[in-house]
Amino acid sequence: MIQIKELLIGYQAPKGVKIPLLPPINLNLEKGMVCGLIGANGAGKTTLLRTVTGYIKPFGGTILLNGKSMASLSNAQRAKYISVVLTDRIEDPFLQVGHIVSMGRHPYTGFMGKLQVNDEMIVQEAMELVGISHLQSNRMTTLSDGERQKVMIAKALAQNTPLIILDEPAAFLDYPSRIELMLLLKKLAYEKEKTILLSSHDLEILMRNADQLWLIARGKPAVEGLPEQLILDGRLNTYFGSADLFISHDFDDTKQMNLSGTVFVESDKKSGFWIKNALSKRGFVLSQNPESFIHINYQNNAYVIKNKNEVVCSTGSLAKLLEELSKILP
Amino acid sequence: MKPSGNKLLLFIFLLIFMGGMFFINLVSGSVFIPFRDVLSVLSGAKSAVPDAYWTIVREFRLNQATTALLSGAGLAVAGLLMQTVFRNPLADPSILGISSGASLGVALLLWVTTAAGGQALLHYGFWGSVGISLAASFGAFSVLFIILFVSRRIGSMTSILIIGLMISYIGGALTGLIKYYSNKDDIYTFVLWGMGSFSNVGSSMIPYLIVVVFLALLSAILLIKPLNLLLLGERYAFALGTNVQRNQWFALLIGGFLTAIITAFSGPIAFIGLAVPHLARNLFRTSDHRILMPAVIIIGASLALLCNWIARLPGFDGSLPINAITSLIGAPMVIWIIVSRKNLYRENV
Repeated sequence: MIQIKELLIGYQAPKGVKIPLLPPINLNLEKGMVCGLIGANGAGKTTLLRTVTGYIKPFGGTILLNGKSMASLSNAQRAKYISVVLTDRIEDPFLQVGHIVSMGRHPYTGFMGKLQVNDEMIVQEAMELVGISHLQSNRMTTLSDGERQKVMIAKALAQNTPLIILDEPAAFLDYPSRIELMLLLKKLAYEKEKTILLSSHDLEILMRNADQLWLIARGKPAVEGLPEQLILDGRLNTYFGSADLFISHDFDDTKQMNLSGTVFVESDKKSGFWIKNALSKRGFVLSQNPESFIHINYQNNAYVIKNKNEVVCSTGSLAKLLEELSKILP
Repeated sequence: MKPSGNKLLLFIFLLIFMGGMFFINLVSGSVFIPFRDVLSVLSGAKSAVPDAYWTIVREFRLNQATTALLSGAGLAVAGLLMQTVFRNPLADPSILGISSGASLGVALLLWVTTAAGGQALLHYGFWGSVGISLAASFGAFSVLFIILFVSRRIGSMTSILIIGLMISYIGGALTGLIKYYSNKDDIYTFVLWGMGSFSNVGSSMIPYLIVVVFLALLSAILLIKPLNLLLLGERYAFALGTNVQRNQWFALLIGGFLTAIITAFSGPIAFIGLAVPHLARNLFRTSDHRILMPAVIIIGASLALLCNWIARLPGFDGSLPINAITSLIGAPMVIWIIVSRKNLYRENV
């Protein structure tokens, strides 16, 4: 969906001096994935997102959307690929929810913005999917932060783009609303095949819900990977200071397990937590029974997969492990 | 969103009100002309009425009412454009310094003619008033060009707002300096011009004013969709596929042009551009420009006609300065709107 090649981002200092924030960036994002962008304050998260949405021009490099160079797209064409949810607040006291969501149809409507029957249906569907249909004649300024966010997500859905980019969507939300937000984004990715890219400070929530992470830090090349992989090989720590501080490993991981489970994981407690986290995200049912159908042993950064006591393969990467497992357990 | 039944009714009511105000402006004045005779004049039956009636209604009242209608509509649209583009409820047509440019132009002309011709412009009669219009246009359009030029280089609307304000101050200061060195007659002419009047446009100029204002209003209609998107903020508008800077620039061009042309003919008319968009939003309870654009045109025209009528009510000696009336009506209106909307704002906090 997105391929970023040798992208140089940064800001323009006075007298046209260009100050790059990061070494050239190479990142990819596949269709239907929920990807979290993390980095410390000032690392350039917002600049990267604004560059990827086309709002600011990169100093160099290319961004490909479905193989097409973004620089070659017109404003109107780009608006059919990417929709955004920002932290900008809408303060107009008369704007109604329904009107805002219907503005998502802008790239498809005529010069007065008149909605056709088809557009009306898409707008209604978007509001239903997000669960704000009952609010459609309410004024935006009367809504809570969580509801406002949903309105902007519904607007993005009405825009009907394969890619939705959210800048700090969790910033103003309380904990339950954050969980709800992530569940909604996952639903959009898995059911509607949307590709979702969001920046966040909330590492814990991303670890549990994102399929992929983009990591950036001052002066270091940007990296991508499975969230659990980035933790297990220690890269998260080197990029994010002490990531352990932000994540609790204490919650009861037996909840992820099931007696009828098919996959048993053998490893040290902390690594096991993350491996299980990755597995259950993909829908593999975990087991507490070492005699299970599939046995995974993790030692010295290598995974050994046994199927009924027969070694299937051994691999060093979590992504490969998941790939092999889905061959055995479709 | 189609206007719902209530909104349609409101539109019809406002249209009737505007028509009524236009007609009242033709009927009333310091000379009493019977209703029937006014109708005869309008229908073109020249032989049926005394020549004086014909001249008064055709040459004076009709021109004045038309100028008021066009000025009110134009300034209201200019105000709406500025408020949306700058996302500032206090923005009005004078915010870019265009009116102050017009004032400076007029002040300069008065000073130059007195210094060079040895006689105050007051004594040049007809050519004097044409000269004032030209000088005001020159001042207004000079400022407009500066603003448009600067805004191509600076993307930030906040910066342009500040630059506009500063140009206003510079214009005001220079005008003050010139006035300080001017004679009594010139200052009197200037003060009179500064109070605004809808009676400066003669029959020969009216058709041009109609065409120019009409074209500008038509172009403003092209901006309805991007203006709505700008309500979400520049970044959302951009992500929805609008060329934000181009549309903002176009809005400044149209709003500035309307302000410049109207100020040139009617003087700096206060408050209509500020008050009418607020009035329209509150009456129709919407920020949708598809409704606001026609609404401010009708309300702006009506309000200007109302002010013009009040200014010429019998009992006043001649006619009162328009600016006094627009401010006296406009300012309490804005206060009322803010007070009645207090609840709306409180919900934001």
